[in-house]
Amino acid sequence: MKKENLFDIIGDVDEQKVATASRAMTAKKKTNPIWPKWGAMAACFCLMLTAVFLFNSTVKGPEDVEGPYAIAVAYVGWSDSQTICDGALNKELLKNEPNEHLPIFRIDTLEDLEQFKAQYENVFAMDQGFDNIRSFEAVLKQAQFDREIFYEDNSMLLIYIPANSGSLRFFVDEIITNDNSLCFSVGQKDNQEVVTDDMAGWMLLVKATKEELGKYTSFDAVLGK
Amino acid sequence: MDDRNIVNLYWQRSKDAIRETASKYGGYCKSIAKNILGSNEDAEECVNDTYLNAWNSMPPHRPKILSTYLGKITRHLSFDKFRHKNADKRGGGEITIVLDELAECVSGTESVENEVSRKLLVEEINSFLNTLPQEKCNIFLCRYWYAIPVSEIAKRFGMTENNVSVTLNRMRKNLKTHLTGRGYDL
Repeated sequence: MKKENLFDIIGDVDEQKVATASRAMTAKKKTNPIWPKWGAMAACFCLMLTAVFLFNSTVKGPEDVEGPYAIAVAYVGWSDSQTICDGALNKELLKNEPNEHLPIFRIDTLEDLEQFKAQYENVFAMDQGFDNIRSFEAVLKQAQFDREIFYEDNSMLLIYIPANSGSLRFFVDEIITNDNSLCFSVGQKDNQEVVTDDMAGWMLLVKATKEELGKYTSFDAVLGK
Repeated sequence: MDDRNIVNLYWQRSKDAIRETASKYGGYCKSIAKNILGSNEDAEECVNDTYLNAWNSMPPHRPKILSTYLGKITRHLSFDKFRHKNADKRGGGEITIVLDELAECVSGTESVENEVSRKLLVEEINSFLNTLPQEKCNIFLCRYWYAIPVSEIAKRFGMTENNVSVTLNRMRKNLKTHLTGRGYDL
């Protein structure tokens, strides 16, 4: 094979990876390379504190979190695949009001999780993180949502949030319950550290006890105003 | 404008599609073309051809990631132009050095390639990329997909140029081993 053919063939590799590499270049571009040493050290210290805070607040093991819900966030890339809507618990709402609702999925067993991963392996980027947000696989592992014992008493809800910018970050700002319905209102904020217009997608992983989820028969997620 | 809306403009055959694309991704496409061709004039020509190709391909295509979709068109057109202009002389942008580096992974002889074998090879390269830590994967693609100069990669990833060159060298060797181990005699 000629070197030109290899270069040509590399052009066809996974688009998600190519987009991630581009974002990495853009994100790093925003840093100032000529900071004085002490400034860089102070920044590193702040980053470490931030990282510890983020880790503790978003990726705790389920046993460390009190209350019925614990929430972690993972990067999964952007997709508008129809299969996302089709497999969601709130697919009717998504069909009627696609701009109001976010797809929500329920995982009750380790088999459900494996099936979800198999069904969406070509839709979501399961093993790619972005900026300081870990990949779906990494969060599953870190939060121990990938263990059989977790599903003995717990289930996991997944909320997919496609975004038209990698600068946005998402969080659950309110949990609304009404008789037998459970709805997560998702808030968004700009992350000024990362400035990119690339499409992105996030997954909120919500741990809930089976006892808690047993109270509800209808599940939904909405993007807060 | 949201990428989804830009794609919708193409599907609606609205001329605004090109204006919005140029405004959002003109710089991105031009940097790819410039890395490959070296010349501003040639790069601009390829970027304009990219808009035309995007116009002709949407519909039927509805790309998942618009930036990469456009980037891929630019990369392809620029590399074609490079090959055409450099059939019997060296030149171009960073691409000549990138190609020389990639020459370490291949025999340099002509090979018969069809769509199936190409797809399989792309899958194997994807599987190789999956084995890399995220940052190394990014560096590999910045160099061999975007043809970004080593000095620029070093600056953006906070590494020395030597460090980037050594990392790329190891990845090329690993790629060759990966492909050879799976029966590819390139």
